[in-house]
Amino acid sequence: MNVESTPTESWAPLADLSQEPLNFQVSRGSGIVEQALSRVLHSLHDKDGVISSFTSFISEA
Amino acid sequence: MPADPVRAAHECAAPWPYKQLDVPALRAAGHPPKPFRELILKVHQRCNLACSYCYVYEMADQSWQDRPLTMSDEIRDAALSRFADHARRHNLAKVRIVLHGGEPLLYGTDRITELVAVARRSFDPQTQVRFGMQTNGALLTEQVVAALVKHGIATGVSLDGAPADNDRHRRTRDGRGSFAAVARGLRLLCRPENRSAYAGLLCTVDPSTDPIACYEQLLGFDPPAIDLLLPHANWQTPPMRLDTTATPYADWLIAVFEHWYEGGAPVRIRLFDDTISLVLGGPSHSEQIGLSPSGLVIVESDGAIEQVDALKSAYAGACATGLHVQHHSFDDALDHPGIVARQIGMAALADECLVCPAVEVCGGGHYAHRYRPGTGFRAPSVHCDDLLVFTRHVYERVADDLGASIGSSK
Repeated sequence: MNVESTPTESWAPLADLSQEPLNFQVSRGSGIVEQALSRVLHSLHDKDGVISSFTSFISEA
Repeated sequence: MPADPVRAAHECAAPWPYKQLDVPALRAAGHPPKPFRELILKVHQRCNLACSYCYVYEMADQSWQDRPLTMSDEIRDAALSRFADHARRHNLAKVRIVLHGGEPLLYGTDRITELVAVARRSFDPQTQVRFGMQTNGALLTEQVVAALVKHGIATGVSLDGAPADNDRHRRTRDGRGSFAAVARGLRLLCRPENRSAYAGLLCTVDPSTDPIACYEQLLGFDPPAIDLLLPHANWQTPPMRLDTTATPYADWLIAVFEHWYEGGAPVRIRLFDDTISLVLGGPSHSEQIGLSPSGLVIVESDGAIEQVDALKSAYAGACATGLHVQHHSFDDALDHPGIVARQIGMAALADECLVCPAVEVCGGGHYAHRYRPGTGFRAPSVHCDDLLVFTRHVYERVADDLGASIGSSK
């Protein structure tokens, strides 16, 4: 996993999980960031990633 | 001017996308249509509340006055059949049907039960159909909640925080606050046997309120999820501002974000989850932020196939496609310029957005908030300043967190 620790001019993504397998064990950042990275990893493999309405609903990802 | 009156109204009010977006050229350039995965059914046109900021009744579009009070069985069946055809044609493994209004519970639990049964019969077995509802919560009774649980309807409830704050905007027509009634309904949803029908809380941000008191109030109802919605506004009808700060919405959101983050994120907050996902290079699943394509379509009580209803805040007829479930398929809607504009990411953004360093995170904000008369929807969000400050805060917070962790592991 490539992680950039400082913001760049163009606000580059802080992580690149695009080459990681779905079962990659994320172990970076706080528990919140770790969970978020895990969701990002799964979402990259989710063809159904479109926005939905009524924002009290949460993606199952 | 075109002969089609719906198109003519759009071209006058919103030159982009209706005059300027070249859909065939976009398709040729590699922007394929994304099938709809969510159908929102406007099963009832009236509401038992009269909230001050409601985009259905209190803003530019007043089309609710001309539509049938409830969706007829014929329109219901046609809409569900069209959606099932759409799922079949595009091999969709999962779809969702959301009941909305007005207040969807005014449709009645018997009719809701029948709608779910018809829907389940309409789809092929390989498509998983999930149901949702967005309600004001004031009509939730034991019997209603039991029906929602029985039929697997995940229910989102709108609540704007502490009692006095909620009741300032969310009132009955005779001016009484709704908090007490909604709280009764939420206590029913909180019961263990009813949790499966509890999707979460939706709160519209009012920057004049205490953000922490609001968050704690919402948390007190033990929701599976919360979302915080910037009020619908645009360059013609701007949001409320405060004299004390240039970015009141960002300030409010950052206060809640810090409290939530420091508290270990005890509940999922969709705006925060999505923003963190975006700064980490992932997608967003909400309309408020990011560049993900829209996968939703609306059918009104008269059978009109429409765009997302938040556009009612922009101009009269802003949601219209001119299509109808009894005469057109949902595939027909996929090539409507308004639908296309929601599925092309960066290609829909204003020049100012394209040179902004935050563009990959912000994504131009909610499409409805970009509306500017004379221009249309290719403009920065009217909440641009607040979005920039809020997203920068999240970006830097997560960057610090990742950096600290990396440093400590060396």
